[in-house]
Amino acid sequence: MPAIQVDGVTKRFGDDVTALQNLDLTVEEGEIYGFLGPNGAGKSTTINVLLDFIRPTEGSATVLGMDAQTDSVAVRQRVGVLPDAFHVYDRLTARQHMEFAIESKNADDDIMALLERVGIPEAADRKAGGYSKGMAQRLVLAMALVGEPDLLILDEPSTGLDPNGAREMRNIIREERDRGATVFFSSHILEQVDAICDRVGILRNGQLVAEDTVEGLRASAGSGATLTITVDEPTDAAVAAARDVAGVSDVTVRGNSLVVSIQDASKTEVLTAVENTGTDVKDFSTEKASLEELFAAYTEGGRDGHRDGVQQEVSQ
Amino acid sequence: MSMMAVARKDFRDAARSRRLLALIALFVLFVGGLAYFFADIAGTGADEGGFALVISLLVPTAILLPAIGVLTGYRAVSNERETGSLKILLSLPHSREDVVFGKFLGRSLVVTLAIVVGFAVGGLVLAVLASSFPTVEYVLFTLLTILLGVTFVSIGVGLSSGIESENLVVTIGIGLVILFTLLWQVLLLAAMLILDNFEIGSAATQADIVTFLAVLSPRQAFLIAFSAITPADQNVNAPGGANVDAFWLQDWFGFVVLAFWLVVPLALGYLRFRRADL
Repeated sequence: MPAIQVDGVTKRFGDDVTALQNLDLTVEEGEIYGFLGPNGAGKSTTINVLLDFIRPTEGSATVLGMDAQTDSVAVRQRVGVLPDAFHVYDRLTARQHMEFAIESKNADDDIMALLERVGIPEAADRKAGGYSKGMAQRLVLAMALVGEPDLLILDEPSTGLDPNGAREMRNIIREERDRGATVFFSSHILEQVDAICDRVGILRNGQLVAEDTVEGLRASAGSGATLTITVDEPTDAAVAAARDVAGVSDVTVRGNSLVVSIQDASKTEVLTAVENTGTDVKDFSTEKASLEELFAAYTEGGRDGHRDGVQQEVSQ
Repeated sequence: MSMMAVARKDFRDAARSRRLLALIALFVLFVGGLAYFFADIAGTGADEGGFALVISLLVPTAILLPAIGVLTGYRAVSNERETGSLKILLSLPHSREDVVFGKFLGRSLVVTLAIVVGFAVGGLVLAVLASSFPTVEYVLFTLLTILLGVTFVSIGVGLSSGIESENLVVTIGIGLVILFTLLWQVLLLAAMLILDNFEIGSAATQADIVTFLAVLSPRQAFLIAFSAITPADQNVNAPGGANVDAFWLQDWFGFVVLAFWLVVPLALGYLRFRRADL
């Protein structure tokens, strides 16, 4: 049984805004699924459908095998949620927030242990009205962890967190997965996703444009790598030789270096070709395409246009 | 039970924000002050006894309660929706039914507590100053006042649940307060003038129409319902020729009207909230 199953969900607001278009999505039990996309792609709309905050125009969704609409209370009993655009209760302390979550879920968690886990034990008895965005985020994460949920749904969990806080967030996500929970989280920032996601889905304009492991996405997007070769003199012949190697998509000259974009060529072949023109190779380095570039490749390029070599079928 | 968890939280929030305290203080001053005024300064109690004093509290109460009730309830849901704390509430396993009716219960408890404390102090003042104190009638009057207060809370929470825009909720809420305290009477007067001017029906029919329209307001229904408590004839100030035996001028009809206002706005608000995208 998948933790989340979205079947053909379309959501229109009014007559002309289509937030989701026939979205199919499956999140398997026990995985960390990163749900990526630029702002406005429909990530929060999807999460709101799963929580029954909004109702799909067409299609349906199940969470932990239960219908997201008709069994919503039962769903939320077993799911921990960090929603988007929430606001804490200004007059309640962190402890009182936790008490309410524990009471609501009929759980018996240790409040201080959870607050320590998210890093705000010192704020336990302070009113949440004075919290920073990051502290509020940590508090609601602690509420989401109440009752050892089978599934965590986190909407942009690192919002408002500094790099250190974001790392702690990732650790908690990993710990929860290792405990046996499924984690579904959305983000428009990619750098943090790479390290922790078992699978990634990329949403654009309300449609899933890619779904795979990070490695799989990188391979199928053909983003390859960049080879930088430092030479004594970047001659035209050397540039031409590098460009002629099969699998090289672009060569530019930057100072004393050739910057070679490789799709799937071997760097040895490129180096050999350059050396064969009589050029003296002093140094070289390779860089894998960053996930940022990969993400940009999937999500940029016009609202409805698709970049060559980037569009791919969604693989389950 | 989930609805009770929401109700408890809402009540505690009111206590923390001192809203509860302010409301209790208001009722103590209002009921205690009125009791003191009528019993000691106006001197009603000396001649006519405690029951006349209870009656003198009736109209001021009916005027105060719409504002207290509606204003206590009308931001219950819409404010949480506007700020985004509703997302925290509904991320936990509460249904929308739990939210609307839990909020209604919580706010009703706030108003009830304020009425009980205020009327207890007022009762004490009367018991000390008046020549006699009708304990049973006073308790029944307090209960009826609670019913009226809760009815207006229901109207407020129903409004709060049914409409998304907080600005609109506030505008309509204040409009409703004016309607129930003042405007209804003005509209009745207008109706009376129109009926008279265009000579619609006989004088008796006109009076019947006006008394009927009057009783449809929760405040007038409260006054009619009060006559169930008292042997004295406390019917509405029926315009000349009105049929005082008409069914809508009987005490039971007052309770029917109150029940309508207690149930219908809240139910409509809930039905809209249940279908809404948040």
